[in-house]
Amino acid sequence: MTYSIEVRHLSKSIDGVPILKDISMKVKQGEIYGFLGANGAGKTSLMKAMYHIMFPDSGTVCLLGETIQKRNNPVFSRIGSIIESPVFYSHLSAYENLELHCKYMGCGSEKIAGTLSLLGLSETGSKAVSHFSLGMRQRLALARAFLTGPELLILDEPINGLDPQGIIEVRELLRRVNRECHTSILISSHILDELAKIADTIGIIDHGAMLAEISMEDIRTQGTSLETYYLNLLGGHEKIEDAHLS
Amino acid sequence: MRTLIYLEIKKFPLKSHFAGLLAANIIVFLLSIFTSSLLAANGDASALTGLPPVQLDTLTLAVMLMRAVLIVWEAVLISIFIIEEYRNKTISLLFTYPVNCTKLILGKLLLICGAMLLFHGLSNIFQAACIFWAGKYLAFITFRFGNPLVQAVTAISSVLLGLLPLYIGLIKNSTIAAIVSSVAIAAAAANSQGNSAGLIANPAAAIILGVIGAVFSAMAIHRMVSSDLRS
Repeated sequence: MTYSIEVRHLSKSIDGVPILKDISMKVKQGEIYGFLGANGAGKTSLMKAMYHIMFPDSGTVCLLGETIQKRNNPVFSRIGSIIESPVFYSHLSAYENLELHCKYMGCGSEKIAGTLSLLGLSETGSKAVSHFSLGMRQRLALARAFLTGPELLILDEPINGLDPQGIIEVRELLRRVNRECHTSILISSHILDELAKIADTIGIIDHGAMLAEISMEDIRTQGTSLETYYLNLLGGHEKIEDAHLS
Repeated sequence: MRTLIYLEIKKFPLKSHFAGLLAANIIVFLLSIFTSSLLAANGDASALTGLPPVQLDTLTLAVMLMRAVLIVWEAVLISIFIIEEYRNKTISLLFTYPVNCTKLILGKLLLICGAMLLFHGLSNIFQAACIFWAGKYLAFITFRFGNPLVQAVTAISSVLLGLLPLYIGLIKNSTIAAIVSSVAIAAAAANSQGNSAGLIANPAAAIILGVIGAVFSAMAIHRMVSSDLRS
């Protein structure tokens, strides 16, 4: 079995406080892996550790078969990502931001116009990104992630700020990219419904620890929903009932 | 490396800085002429009071003032090219590119140093030319052209010393800290205790200050390459 992402026993502490605790996970090639957890559970920290934006204290990360030991690994040219909130050079236009991205990634800029059009940003012209709405910025971040035709997408809450129509479009786009280009996708979210609709496998993280990895097929076979499974795993039903009673 | 520098210029164009440099040079030129006229008048007064007159020709004064301005200017460039990348979190985007991290940062520093050396050179030429021209018409304007080698050492040292605010700015993650520290550094470099044209005009002091700046910039690079980027 070939894995696009392999994380083994990854741990990280900040100022003595553990934020990632012995995390192991595997994303199969061509799979959509949904990464689920509450705010502050450690989703973004794990993604940062994958890129060594945040250096792990222990453990290893393999992306597309390459062990990541330092920042700026050459394998990053085969990966598209949104890590944390979408950031841009906000005084530049969407096109200029994508052009810069292409130069840094070492590829041509001929796909920019098409990708902008695909994400509904072709009309932005020379408008600076600082004037974009949150939804437009999110679309531009997705355009940047898709632009180089990556083999792996690492997307940290990519549907944040999108309107309902945008969420549907992005979901369809991710499915299409996965189906047609066999792109592996790691997508984090705290929106259960969205992950249930798109993911093949779900990883659940809480307080920096990986609680479970389960396929959506197994959840359905158990005759339950992702929401029920998640709440049962976290003992959430009792918590919610307690909250109602009090 | 050339590509990285080109990309930096594309991100943050330097065009407006050239217009600013011209304006700063004109202001410093006028200020030097005004100060020289006051010093000339003070020289007559010192003959009466018995105090020694200030031995500072107009060109040396202009170059000293311009050097101080450029040290602060360098902190502004450091803020634009490096510290703002941290504040806007675009640095985390840069670290996801398949380009060597140290090279990325060195590209930025080379661009800043190159631009500042050019600014120092252009400013020296501008001040020398203007003061030489003005000296033909105004008797109180004095000048002597210094040793070009000493001027080159002083300019390089000023540029290296001007990198020191990078370290301070990174610790505080603040453009204000970088610029305020550069004002203190400019004041120290222009201190007249060692030399009436400023401490940094003394070649030995210039080399020491330059080395201090280079050491702190190396520490800053190490900090950028090896520390976590937190939210």
